[in-house]
Amino acid sequence: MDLNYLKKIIKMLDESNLAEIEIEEEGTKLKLSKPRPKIVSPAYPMQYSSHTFQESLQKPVVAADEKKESKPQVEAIPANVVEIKSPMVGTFYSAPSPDADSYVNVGSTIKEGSTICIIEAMKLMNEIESEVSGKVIKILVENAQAVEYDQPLFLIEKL
Amino acid sequence: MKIKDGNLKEVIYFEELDSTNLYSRNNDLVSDTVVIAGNQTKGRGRLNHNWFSSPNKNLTFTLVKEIEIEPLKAHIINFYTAIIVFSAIKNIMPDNNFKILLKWPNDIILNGKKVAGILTEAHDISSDRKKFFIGIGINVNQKDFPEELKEKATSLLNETDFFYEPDTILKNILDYFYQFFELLRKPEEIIQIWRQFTYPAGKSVSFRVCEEKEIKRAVIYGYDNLGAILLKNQTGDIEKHYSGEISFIY
Repeated sequence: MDLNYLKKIIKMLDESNLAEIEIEEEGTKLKLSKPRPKIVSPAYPMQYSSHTFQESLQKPVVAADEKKESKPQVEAIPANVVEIKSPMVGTFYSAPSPDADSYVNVGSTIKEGSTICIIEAMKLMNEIESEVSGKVIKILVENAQAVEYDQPLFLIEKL
Repeated sequence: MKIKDGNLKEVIYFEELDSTNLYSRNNDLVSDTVVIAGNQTKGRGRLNHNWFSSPNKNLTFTLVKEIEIEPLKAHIINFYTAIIVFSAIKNIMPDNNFKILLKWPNDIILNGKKVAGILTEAHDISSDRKKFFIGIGINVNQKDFPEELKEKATSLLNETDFFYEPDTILKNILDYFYQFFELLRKPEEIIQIWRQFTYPAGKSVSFRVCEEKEIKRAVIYGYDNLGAILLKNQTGDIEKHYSGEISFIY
């Protein structure tokens, strides 16, 4: 078993998902294994309430709304585009009332601090403001749709 | 106004106003201000549920209050306010023979009909500006209700045969609100108290996630520690909801 052969085997193991390779050839036995990653216990104590609450919010007992699976998969976002996310679990409303115009549409130019939608939970109507000035390039949720905590709602191109 | 209260900065009264919440928000009023409307012409319930009110017979007002609270728990303010309004109403009644209960999340139900409602609005609660506009409507001395509301809404007068002074109820609410304000630091305790006065598990309801969704039948299964409702749906699964409207099926 020459050195080059051994190097090849090591490289193979390195690049593979295997934890261990064992070869027996012409009376020579070779056993190689990779160091296992250490399992680290969580840094925060379990009773850290806001974490557990957020977790419980993100894991409803069953999907409360059929539309939940339409949660958009957002691809890589260009540097000049800002994602606006929901600060809470609730229902997304695009307009102040059903007979009113939407706060914004795709193509709307908005200023930092202007209201772009409402998220309602248990009759708390929370007006969501834009963190940046720019142009709305995508609205990722539909009116009256249930949204999760941290779910992306809008893509805004900074101007 | 007769309302003299050390907790308040200002009390603004209008004979007539479209909506006390709208006025408070548009004028960005400071914390600890109360806006009262003798006659609210466009009182709002949740989105397009208009709050029907006869001039000068009811109590419709908004309390502007800065509250330090985690965004994910901010809705607790509504549960807190519901307990406060509930207590103030209970306190003013001539005796204890009236069935008064809270309906999720924050309606006050007297003898099976809605007598008071709460709707809180806020600018971005994830930012540092945590000012809440807590809108409260109570049907006090209103005698007549439109036909379509008769089965669902009532007033203190209609159920108890007594007239009440809206100002006295307002004063009670504000007294309690400030007196127990520290409770807002303990959301789970608020829900525990709220649970004692609400409809228990096992009640059949119809449920609507929001205006645009269909109505489903379900049974109340319970409420979680932060006020979300747990409903057992018709296939037997437990659903957790953070918004929506329940109506009782008798």
